[in-house]
Amino acid sequence: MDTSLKQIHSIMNDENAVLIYSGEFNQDIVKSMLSYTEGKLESSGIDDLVRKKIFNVMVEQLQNITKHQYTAEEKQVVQPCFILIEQENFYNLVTGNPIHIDTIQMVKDRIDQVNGLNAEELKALYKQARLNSRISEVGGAGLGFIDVARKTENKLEYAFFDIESANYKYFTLKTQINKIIE
Amino acid sequence: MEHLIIDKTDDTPSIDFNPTSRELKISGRSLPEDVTTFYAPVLEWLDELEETPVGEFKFIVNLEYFNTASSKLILDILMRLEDIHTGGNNTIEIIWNYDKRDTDMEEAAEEYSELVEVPFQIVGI
Repeated sequence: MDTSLKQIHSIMNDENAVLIYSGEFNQDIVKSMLSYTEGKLESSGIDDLVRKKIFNVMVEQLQNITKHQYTAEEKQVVQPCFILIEQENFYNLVTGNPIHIDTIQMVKDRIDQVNGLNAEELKALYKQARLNSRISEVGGAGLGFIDVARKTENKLEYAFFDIESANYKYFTLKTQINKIIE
Repeated sequence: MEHLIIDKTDDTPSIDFNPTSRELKISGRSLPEDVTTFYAPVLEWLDELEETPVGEFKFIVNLEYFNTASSKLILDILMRLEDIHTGGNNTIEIIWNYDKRDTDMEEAAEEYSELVEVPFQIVGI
């Protein structure tokens, strides 16, 4: 992925970017990003509930990147990123991170499954996944995607980009939070 | 039984388990990186309570937000409370307070209430 400084500037100017970050992810950085974003959103006079939803979804997305931390090999290729942009009727939260080609199919299957379900079905899946998560750590994965889909009430958009690596691609995930909550 | 107090931080909730007033409170936000370490003393305290006859307890939840990893530990705590309640030494009542506009939190509380056999009140404030 070739994101030049010029492109980033154009994102920041053309659209209302709340936060753009690219680099290392750890819990301290995640906390700083959260408190910065909360402060910025609060001063913008946003509905408290929308702010809470953004916070919820942002935590899941950021911690997901932190948890699946890249190895030394990936590190040289391309850094993970997070972008929060305000649009007219919604907020977009975009994450990007290298992903090993062996896990792509699993991630794709999970997101496709979540995208194919309505609210009631997501609730049932969440319950089942939560109970499974008590039995085995591995079986419980995927809770995060279900949670994000339920909270945003929108489909998850994803893509996998080729990067200069035999073993990794760049995974982007975009979620959308409506400004008006019914 | 000792009074268990843990102060809240940016990413962990406050814990106030008082054996004298018999109120067990958890308040704030829960999004630690290492949920297991944070909640270990809480679960240990509940293990001790299960063995100690004291009386009627209220478990009071005032959580504003919790992440997916914390949601598993919260279920562990609720299951532990269920064991205590059915174990015979003590009784438990769960009171889950939430911001009444926050339907995500209301739903989360409802789902928990369906998973454990303990008197469970969900209160929109």
